[in-house]
Amino acid sequence: MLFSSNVFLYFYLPVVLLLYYISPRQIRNFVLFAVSLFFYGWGEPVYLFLMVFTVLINYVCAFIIDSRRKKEKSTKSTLVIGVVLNLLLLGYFKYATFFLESLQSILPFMKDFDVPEITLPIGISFYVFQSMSYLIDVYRDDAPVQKNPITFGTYVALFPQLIAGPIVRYTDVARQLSERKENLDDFASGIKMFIIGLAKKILIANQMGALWETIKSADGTVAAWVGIAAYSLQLYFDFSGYSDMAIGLGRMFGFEFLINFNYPYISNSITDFWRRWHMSLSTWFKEYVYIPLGGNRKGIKRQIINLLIVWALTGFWHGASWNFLFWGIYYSILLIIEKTFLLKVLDKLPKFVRHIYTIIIVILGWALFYFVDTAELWEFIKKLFTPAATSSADINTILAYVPLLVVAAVASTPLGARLYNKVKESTAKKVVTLAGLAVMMLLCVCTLVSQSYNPFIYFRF
Amino acid sequence: MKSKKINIISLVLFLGFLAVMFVLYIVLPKNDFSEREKRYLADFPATTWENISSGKFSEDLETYLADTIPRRDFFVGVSSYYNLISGRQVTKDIYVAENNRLVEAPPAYSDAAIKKNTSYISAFAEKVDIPVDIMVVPSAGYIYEDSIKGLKNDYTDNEAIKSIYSSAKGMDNYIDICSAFEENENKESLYYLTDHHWTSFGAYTAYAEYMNTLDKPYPAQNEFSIEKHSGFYGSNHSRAGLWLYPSEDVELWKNNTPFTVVTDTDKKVHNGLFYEEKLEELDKYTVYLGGNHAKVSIDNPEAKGQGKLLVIRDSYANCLGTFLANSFENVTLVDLRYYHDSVSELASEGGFTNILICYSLSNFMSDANFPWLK
Repeated sequence: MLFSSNVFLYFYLPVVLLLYYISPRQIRNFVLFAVSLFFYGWGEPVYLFLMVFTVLINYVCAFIIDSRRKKEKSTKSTLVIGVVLNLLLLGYFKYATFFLESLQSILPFMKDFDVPEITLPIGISFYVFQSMSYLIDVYRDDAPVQKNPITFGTYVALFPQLIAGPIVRYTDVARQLSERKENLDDFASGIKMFIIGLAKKILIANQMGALWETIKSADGTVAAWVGIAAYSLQLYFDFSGYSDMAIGLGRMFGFEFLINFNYPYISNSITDFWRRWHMSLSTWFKEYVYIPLGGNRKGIKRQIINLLIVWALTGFWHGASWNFLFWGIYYSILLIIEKTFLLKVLDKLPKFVRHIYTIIIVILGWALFYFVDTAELWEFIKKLFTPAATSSADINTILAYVPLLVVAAVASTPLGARLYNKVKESTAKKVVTLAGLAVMMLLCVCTLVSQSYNPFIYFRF
Repeated sequence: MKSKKINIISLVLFLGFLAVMFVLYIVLPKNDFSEREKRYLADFPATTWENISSGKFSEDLETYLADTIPRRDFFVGVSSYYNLISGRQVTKDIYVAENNRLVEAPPAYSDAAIKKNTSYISAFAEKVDIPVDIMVVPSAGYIYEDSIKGLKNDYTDNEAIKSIYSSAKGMDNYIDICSAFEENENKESLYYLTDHHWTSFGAYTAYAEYMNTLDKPYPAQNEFSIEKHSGFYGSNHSRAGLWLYPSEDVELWKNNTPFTVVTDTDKKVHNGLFYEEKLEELDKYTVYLGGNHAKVSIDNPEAKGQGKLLVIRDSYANCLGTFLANSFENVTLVDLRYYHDSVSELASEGGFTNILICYSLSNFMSDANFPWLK
């Protein structure tokens, strides 16, 4: 189910809120678990078993780790088994087809082998990563084991962040799972976050996506740059909008998730960018891969290798295709260059140069991210750097989107929030805020009814 | 005001809105057909396990909910105005052109549909001994493409019609409406501003083109007395939901010929070509021959001996039919959406001298009823 859908807004959400708040506290987690399973099964009921299976494996493994530790036995083997099982699930459902097809292209005797067609279960990359964070946290004794399978199931399946993140670490919500206090202030701010997220998604991301779809194959340098800029904005607003909605919904049920995006497009270096973009994913890789590999404590050579591994994996996490792997390696190389000398050089440069450097790198990265086909990517890169005229029809298209492009560009910086915070708290400010949210909500609802373009990019992952 | 009060207000507004919509959805009766948009709305999807497990159920349900949302007109209108104000087209299906004109986005080009539908037509032409002509009408958007404001997809009507004409074998005449319209001095008046249909002038122009091709006489424009009726809002207007757009006139081109019309809907003899009581309805285009029927028969007592014409057609021929009647003793129009008897038998038994297949391009490419042409 999509948050930006009529069925979610007018049926699922009101019914779930009602069920949740009329239930006594002891069974609220159960209610959340049940409605989350319904949410997950809505589009692809066949994959419900996978979700339940994931919950079970991780629940049992963590349980065994905990009891073995109490008996002072080794827990490492259980962890390895658990992690391998999780990776097998992810590997089979997400990467099997890709690996087999790649093998087929290099090994002639594989030609006759029928590659199975596996549809990617929605959100699998997110909930498998969440489950693994729990397992590892319990192993490291960073988090207490969860004895109640329902509570643990609620953590894994919790519908706000289930299908597109943020990837909530178990340690961050362990306490909230058993002793959270829903309250009016949180609920109201949850509504605000949700509406802002919805507006990011419907009013900006979808429109930027429509522009990119229209002009991505157009000729001309301007069309290419505007197109890829629109796609960059679409990605940010789509994904951060989703995270905002997830955080907002979480608050309505008394949860507090960490923010997932911190204005990534104002970064002044690539290192900075990865501290601001999809923070829950970078944190996950840092905590569970980079640091265990030794991070930066084992000398520069080892650090370079670690960066390569972590970013190749980060890229590959985004999808089973070569371009995502290249995209990850592209960033690992840039990060290594920055770590070894470029950051020191950048420090001496004027601010705007650093911003331009970063944004161009990021935008080119998104081209790599978008084009699965290398030949098409190459064509597009050539268009970016070959001066050529854009047809007047394409210029018209672009002009039609200029107002939205400007709004999107400004909204991707903290400028608006800063101005808003400068206005002194007053009744007038509160009323205007409320009216603004109401208008945003109205526009979202209306746009949704007129049923234009409404894909969620991050569902592929 | 305290924060708490504001928080309570926002809570009440948000939850209230969702709850009201929820209740309205459940309580309000659902329409199958939108009169304003002149289209059938999505049905509630079938709750079979196959549907549910494949995810088709949830997809279709979303379309159903969007189609049947309470106060749909209001929501669509707000969205259209917002799209326009922020610089884009009204909806993905409706474009705004100069002079308050609304046109449909380019019809979905389908090579497969063209091949399939023309194969039925060719087979039909081979079967009957009567000369068959074909007339495919381009979309308004194609004719006014240069005046469309802002973002649009390209219209390929000319190429599409050419490809239909080249794969429809065995026709006597292929009527070239594209050129007749593009070269017309009064291009602005060929189609309605708010509807997808052609105007009386547009239909007359096509009629004249057809009569010239057949080398038959036809009345000049000034032989008609033109009656104007105001207050028409066409289907594009309803779909766009732009409340502030002006209405326009429908024209009745009358002369003194005592035409009689029989439709198989009421089977009564109707004097005159225009069903003027329909001018009171929302869709005033139904004034021409009373709208869509499986079969309509028009007699012209003043044209005895000038042949009989059978028209296989969509709604564009409602208006065209009122002109064709001037040049034939009898004009019979059949609509394959509703007429499922043998057309070839009708043609030979009815003693027709000419057959015309007349469709708008978008209907030609989307209509799945050509198998009934047998």
